[in-house]
Amino acid sequence: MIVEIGHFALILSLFVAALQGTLPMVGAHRQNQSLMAIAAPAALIQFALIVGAFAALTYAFVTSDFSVMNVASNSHTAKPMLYKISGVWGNHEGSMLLWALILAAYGAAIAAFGNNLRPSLKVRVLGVQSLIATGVLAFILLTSNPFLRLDPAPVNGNGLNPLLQDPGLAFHPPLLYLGYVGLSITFSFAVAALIEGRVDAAWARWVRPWTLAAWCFLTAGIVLGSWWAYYELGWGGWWFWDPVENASFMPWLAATALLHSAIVSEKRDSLKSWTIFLAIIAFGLSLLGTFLVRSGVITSVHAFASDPTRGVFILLLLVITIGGAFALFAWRGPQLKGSGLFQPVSREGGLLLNNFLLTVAAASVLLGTLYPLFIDVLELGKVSVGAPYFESVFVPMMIPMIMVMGIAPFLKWKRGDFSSASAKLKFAALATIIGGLLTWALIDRASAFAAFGIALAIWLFAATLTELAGRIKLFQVPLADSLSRLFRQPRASWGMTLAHGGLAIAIAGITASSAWKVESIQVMKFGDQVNVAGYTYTLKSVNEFQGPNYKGTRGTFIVTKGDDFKLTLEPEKRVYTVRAMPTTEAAIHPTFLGDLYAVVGDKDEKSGGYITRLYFNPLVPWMWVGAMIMVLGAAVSLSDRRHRVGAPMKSKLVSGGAPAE
Amino acid sequence: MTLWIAIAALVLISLLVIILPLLRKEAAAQSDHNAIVYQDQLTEIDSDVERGLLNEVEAAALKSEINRRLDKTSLEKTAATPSQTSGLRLAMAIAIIVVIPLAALGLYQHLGSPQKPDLPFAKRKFAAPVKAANAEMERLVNALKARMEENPDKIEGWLLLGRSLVSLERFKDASEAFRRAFQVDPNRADIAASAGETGFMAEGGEFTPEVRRYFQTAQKLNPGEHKALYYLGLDLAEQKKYREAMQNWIDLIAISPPNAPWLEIVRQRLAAIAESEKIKISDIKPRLTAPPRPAMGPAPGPTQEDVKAAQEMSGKDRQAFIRSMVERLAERLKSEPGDLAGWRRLAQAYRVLGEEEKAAEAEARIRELTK
Repeated sequence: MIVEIGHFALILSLFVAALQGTLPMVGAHRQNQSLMAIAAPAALIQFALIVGAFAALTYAFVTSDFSVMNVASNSHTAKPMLYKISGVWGNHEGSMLLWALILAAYGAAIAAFGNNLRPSLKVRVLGVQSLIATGVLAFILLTSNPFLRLDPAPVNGNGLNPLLQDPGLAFHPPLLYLGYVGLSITFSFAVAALIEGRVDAAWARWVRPWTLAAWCFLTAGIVLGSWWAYYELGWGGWWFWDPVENASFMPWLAATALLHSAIVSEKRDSLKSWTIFLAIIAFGLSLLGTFLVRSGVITSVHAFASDPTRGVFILLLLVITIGGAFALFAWRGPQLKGSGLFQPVSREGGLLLNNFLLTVAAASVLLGTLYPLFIDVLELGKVSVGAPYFESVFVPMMIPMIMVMGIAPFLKWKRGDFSSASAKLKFAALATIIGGLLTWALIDRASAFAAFGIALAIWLFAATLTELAGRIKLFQVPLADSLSRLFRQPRASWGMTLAHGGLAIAIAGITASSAWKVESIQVMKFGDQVNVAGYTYTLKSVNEFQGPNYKGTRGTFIVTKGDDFKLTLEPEKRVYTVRAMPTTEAAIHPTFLGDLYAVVGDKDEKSGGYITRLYFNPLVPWMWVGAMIMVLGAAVSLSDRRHRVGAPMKSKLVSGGAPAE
Repeated sequence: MTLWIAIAALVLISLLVIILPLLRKEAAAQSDHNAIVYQDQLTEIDSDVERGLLNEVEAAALKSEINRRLDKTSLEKTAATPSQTSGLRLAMAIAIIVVIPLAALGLYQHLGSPQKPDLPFAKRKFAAPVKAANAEMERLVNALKARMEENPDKIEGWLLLGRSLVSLERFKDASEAFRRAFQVDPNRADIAASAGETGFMAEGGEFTPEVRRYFQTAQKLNPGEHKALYYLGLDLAEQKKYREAMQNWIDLIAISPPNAPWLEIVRQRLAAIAESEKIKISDIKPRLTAPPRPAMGPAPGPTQEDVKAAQEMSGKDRQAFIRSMVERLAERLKSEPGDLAGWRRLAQAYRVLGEEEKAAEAEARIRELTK
């Protein structure tokens, strides 16, 4: 019964969404308060209904109800409870339901916390959000219904892909979706503003916290996915430029640009069309990512062609959503004149330049991702676009961007002064040059690229610190004064300092781990020793054991360096019994300077030894720490009181009469 | 019925929350949200001046810009038009109340399965008895195992443990039990073969050197060991030594009784290789001839040996053990009522347990089969 209630709740949510997407919009157009008043409660009810549906599906997974087709094909009684639960969204139908759930959650958040918004804007945002939800819910119910039943029910389920049986991945899709789908709300803001024909500084301020929230989750989701690939795939790499990764990376680039462009729109009332444009493409790229991942078009164009219902539906949704938004943009865009003018050398100018670089970078990733598909569709043969393309196109665009990132915060709004900014940055520049030269001279004379990458990281880090020092007037006023200034910094500027500083740390990690990775692949017998980057690995034993639903092989390495460093690494190889599929669990020991990384592979029958892959991945922990600092920066910025302006002040203002005029 | 009540409640609550604002009187007057933001931007500039991020001239310029926005927004302020009359609002509410449930129920009729109850695994008919029997079996097996560690010389105990573990599909432990049995009596080919077979299962169908050694030992002890012949043939075929593999299986067929249960699969495998490798089966002559040997390897279910072994347990455990064995056998015979040997064992087991009535029933069945 619970399953059927869940099914009905999902169906009801579709019609509630359709209602919410239409009547309040009419109400907003005709300034009809009663019709407008439906929007917020409808958004909350829609969310509650989808939560109910999701809970019902979770219940079916937890109790192993194999009369539900989705459970039968994706779960198994022998699976640990954690993975029964993560199995809910570990499959196509469930993940689309999660998509809809998060979409509705953002709508409900606007309904509940958006009281500071202009009512007509709020209603229209909810309306647009709900129109997207209508499309997604219809897609789920008509092509990917997770509640379809089986009769007779099979005795046991078909298990779950063992690669998905990993704590990292259990939480990866929810986080990624929070970001991905979170961009829907900025899209709704953009379309609502276009419908209203009114994009002003206030609009830009209202859209910012929602962009920040989506960006925060998206960043965390991407990092978690990359981290998962790092320890699960067992090849010592953390980013492979595969289409699924790119699908999440493109919206991230666009969202990053949007985040900065919204600042300009808020502070300076300019770049408004650009902000709207970015909001549309950011969500467009999210939808495109969903299409690429969910239609199966990536694995094989032909598989998609043989069962095109789902793919065509998403494609249609994509075309209507994005095409509609761009049509509206073309119609209303010319009316969006900004009032704030600015010189090329100004903070606006810097932000715009970086925005442009980010967008072009996103476009280049898009091209690299779609190009093989087009070639395949046009039957021109098979090509694969891999890391060399992305690295040679993407990296050069990031170099000027990071240089400008250091300078732009020192430029004033409207009209900046390049020479005074450079004067403030002379210490940062000096540190950069010395750091780069030292890296080249002491660590690696062969690779100028690596020295350059480290220099860039130093530049960004030093410039960010200099900016903070300037804000708190370090060494200009007594230290105690500076300290008290430090604590009085608005959280939004802490956000910038943390995000830029975090990126600098991450760049150091990215550069070092790609330039100086040490890799050693060999067959080892018990007692054999291999030296990797100064660490001696001794293979002590390889044992077999039985996990909860897999058979494992565990290798034990003793790692020593000098006399006082000794540790044990225990990588595993697992074969999940239900589907007889092997996975790798790398053993990783992070140190300040890098990760010791060991993988045990198959037995080599000839020699009786085991194939082992040993890596030293320099500064990889820096990358994770840097990325987490970026996420923290977004969270701190999100907590800034400015983003809540309006709601708590309303009563004061109403009682105080009209605002100053 | 409960489903429909739940659905009705869902619809009722949802619609009530949504249409309530429609039925309410005019909402309170709205404050100017834009102005609030611009006011805040003005105070922000003041605090930036205080922090020394802006000088007075810049601040004044920015402030005049924001004040322009403030003026503009107060000009744009439009009075909300009065809402529709209450009659029209009521009509709208009724329309929502009618249309939404009808649409939802219509789609649900099309997609849903209201007659189907939930079917959690734990509540399914087959789950409880099988699970309970397995749990009981598990307990007994563990008790037997502990007992065997104290008395490792009782070969029949190890064999019983091994067979029980096989029926629980704990192949690795089963293999261990057979190995221990083989240590007690290293002359029994059938035990070596069982150790090999369970080892093979535990490895997920792989011939590790150890598994191979057990089969080879078995064959050395008894060239006609049927399990060893079969599995070594399989191993040879995997190593692409097809002719030798076929030789093994042809030997196996030659010595097997005509109704042996494994014959079908052996013949299939033989035919498959003959076909793919273009080797004539008739070209290979069997090296072994059929001795009059008892058919069937250790079948699941209690044998005399099991019962004998069980007698080495404590009284209570023994009774429980035999009972669980017998129940499993009886359950199996329901689905394979033609298994004469099975019925014989069942009848005997009932006699041992003193359940004369059931024993008589089983014996009646045996008479039926032997008629």
